[in-house]
Amino acid sequence: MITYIVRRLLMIPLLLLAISLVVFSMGQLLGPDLLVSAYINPNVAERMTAEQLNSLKEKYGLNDPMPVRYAKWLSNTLKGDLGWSQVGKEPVLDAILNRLPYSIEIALWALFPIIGFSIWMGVKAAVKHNTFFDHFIRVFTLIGWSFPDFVFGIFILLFFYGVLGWFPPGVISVEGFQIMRSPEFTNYTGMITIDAIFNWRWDIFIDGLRHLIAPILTISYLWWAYLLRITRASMLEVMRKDYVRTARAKGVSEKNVVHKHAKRNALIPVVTVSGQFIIGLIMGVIIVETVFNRPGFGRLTANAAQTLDYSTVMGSLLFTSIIMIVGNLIVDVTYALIDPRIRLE
Amino acid sequence: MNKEEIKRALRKIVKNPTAMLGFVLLIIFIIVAILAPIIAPPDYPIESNLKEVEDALDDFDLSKKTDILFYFNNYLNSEYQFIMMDYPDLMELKDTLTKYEKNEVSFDELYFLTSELASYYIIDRYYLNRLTENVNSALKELKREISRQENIYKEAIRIKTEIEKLENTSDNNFKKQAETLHKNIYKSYIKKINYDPYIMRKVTNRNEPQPPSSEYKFGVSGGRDIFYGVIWGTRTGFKIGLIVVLISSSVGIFLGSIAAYFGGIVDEIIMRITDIFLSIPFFLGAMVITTILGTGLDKVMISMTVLGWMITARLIRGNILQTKNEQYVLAAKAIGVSDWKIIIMHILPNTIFPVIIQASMRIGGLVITAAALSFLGLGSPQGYADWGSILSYSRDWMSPENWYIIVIPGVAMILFVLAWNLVGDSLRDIFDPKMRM
Repeated sequence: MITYIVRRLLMIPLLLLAISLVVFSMGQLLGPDLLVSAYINPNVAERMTAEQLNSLKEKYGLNDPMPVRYAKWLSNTLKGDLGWSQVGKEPVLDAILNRLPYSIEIALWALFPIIGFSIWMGVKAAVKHNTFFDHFIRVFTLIGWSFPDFVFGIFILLFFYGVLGWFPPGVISVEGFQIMRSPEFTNYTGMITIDAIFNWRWDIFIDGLRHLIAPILTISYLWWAYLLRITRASMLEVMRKDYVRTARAKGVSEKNVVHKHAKRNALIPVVTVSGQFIIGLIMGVIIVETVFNRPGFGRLTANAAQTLDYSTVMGSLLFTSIIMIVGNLIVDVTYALIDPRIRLE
Repeated sequence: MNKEEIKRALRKIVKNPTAMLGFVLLIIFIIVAILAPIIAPPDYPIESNLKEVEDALDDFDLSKKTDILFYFNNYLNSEYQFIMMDYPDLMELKDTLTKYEKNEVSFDELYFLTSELASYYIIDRYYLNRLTENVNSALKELKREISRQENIYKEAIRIKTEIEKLENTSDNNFKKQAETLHKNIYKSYIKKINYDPYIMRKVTNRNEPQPPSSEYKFGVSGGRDIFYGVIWGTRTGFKIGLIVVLISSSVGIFLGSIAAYFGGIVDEIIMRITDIFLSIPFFLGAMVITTILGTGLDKVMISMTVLGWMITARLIRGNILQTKNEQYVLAAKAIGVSDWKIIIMHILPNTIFPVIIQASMRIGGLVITAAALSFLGLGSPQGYADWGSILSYSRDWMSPENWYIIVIPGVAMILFVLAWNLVGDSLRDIFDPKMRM
């Protein structure tokens, strides 16, 4: 077990290096003319003469051979210098870190309803196999699976904001924003609902939550569909296993069979999927924050891509790739911890 | 697969209501895509001279012969008059360019000639500015421009000779000849003005949505006809899904089968590359590549192909590793069949089914990704008939009374994705009952 974890940990720097190489080479596709825009404002660059541009390229080493440039870029990146973000109007790393709390807030709030609901419903659907409830869940997941997340988000916005006026876009109302900016309110984490709890301001908490429900609903529905499918399938498989029949035969109550014997083993594949799920949350956040107009990490990336702000886009890609690698590691290790069959390898 | 198995598979599909729904939806979409030019005829641009020819040809008698020839020549003059006049000058510039590259002419001479041509509006002033900024890239751009103009000149000459040929044909053949020539010239006209039926034309300059009416059946969004966009969007959907899945699956099959069959160091290298690509988040990666390459549907497809081959490669590798030691492969090896032949003739046919199923299940997701990119303004160009971009027009007009600009393209997209997912799902149920979800 320990050798497995050590082996996986040793792989991480190599993978990170490889990822950095991929991201770097993607940037190189731009060519030196466009790469300059990662360092200065393109509007300024347009008015510059060829000589000025050349001296700039010289300064940042854009005319150097590829390996030299990669080494320079890598050392800068390790120092945390990812370039200047035009969209964020600050260095890329700061721009990402400053906006991250909004995205983490959505992810945190979405996590529990998604996992809880899908496991509960998935197990129930498998236990009541081929009943009306099961068919309903099948249809529900199929539709959810085919629903593009931004379309679902727009539908939600149209209905809950346009028709009912319940959940407005944005992160907080104007009054709430003023309170948040006032001296008696301390910002600990940057996440509105969490800060509100720490400050014991329930009005702000409810205000923040009201703006959160629609994005959470959007992200959750699609993941419900996916996780439900997997829970249901694996539960159905486990329920046919011999040891479940044995448990029934020796007179264990149906409730205990399902929850103590079957569910535990059925959830193993669900753990593997949760790795993709973390990544999916990051991706979902790009769409959801654009649709619901929330100033988080996802919107920063989307805006950067729209305005051709290469340094920010590259920074985001690197950042999410690292999260993905670490997330996959955690999932694999947990998987090995839960499932004894893996440990033998 | 023998006949009996096919029969059994078909029976399973017919018995399964969701599978039937998927296939019916898919067939409807295919029909709509094929009949798109009839259901929503594109508004081909009209050229007045060619229109006159068409009218004359509609009720033709020999007295109209001179008219037709006149209008053809008129078209030639109006469209190609300038290039005919400018051509000698352009050739001179081309000469000077090649001489400059051989150092036979000084830069000043080249610059002088360019500025002279620019002052007669033969070439754009832009190239003059480029020459002062960056000579090398300016030379490249100039060459490209000259060769573009040359092609136009060639086209003009071609049309001219064709018209002369028409003048000399006998009266019996005239009508037939004139009709083909008209078709020919009209085609070249469409090409010349860069008309693309996939671009939804602007029906109004006002941005606000207009509700469905008899003229615009699904309403107007962003100044464009939604009905036209939804119908032609089916074609876009198929184009994206099928092309990306085809290319990326082929790449995956190729790399996966090499890795599995040869094993050892080849396998190790290919699988590590696969790992690296797998740790790039798909949507963000596609976003980045599209941003770098620039907007356009082809760029979106390239980015999704680059990031979409890994799962297939893994799948096929696993399958081949299983079949590699089967008796028929060993037998083929023993009688001296070459490696490639064994892979293509013996192993792939036995391992490809899961890949096909997986590919059909991926199409829906790919269409969603492309639409999401368009929605973010990164995918297809402005006005392209694509469900994602129609939806992106709605962003500033989101209110209940404008439901049609959101619901109609949205539902079209959902049904399209649903159709593919249902079909993929039922294929898997039929061929791989173990995996049934």
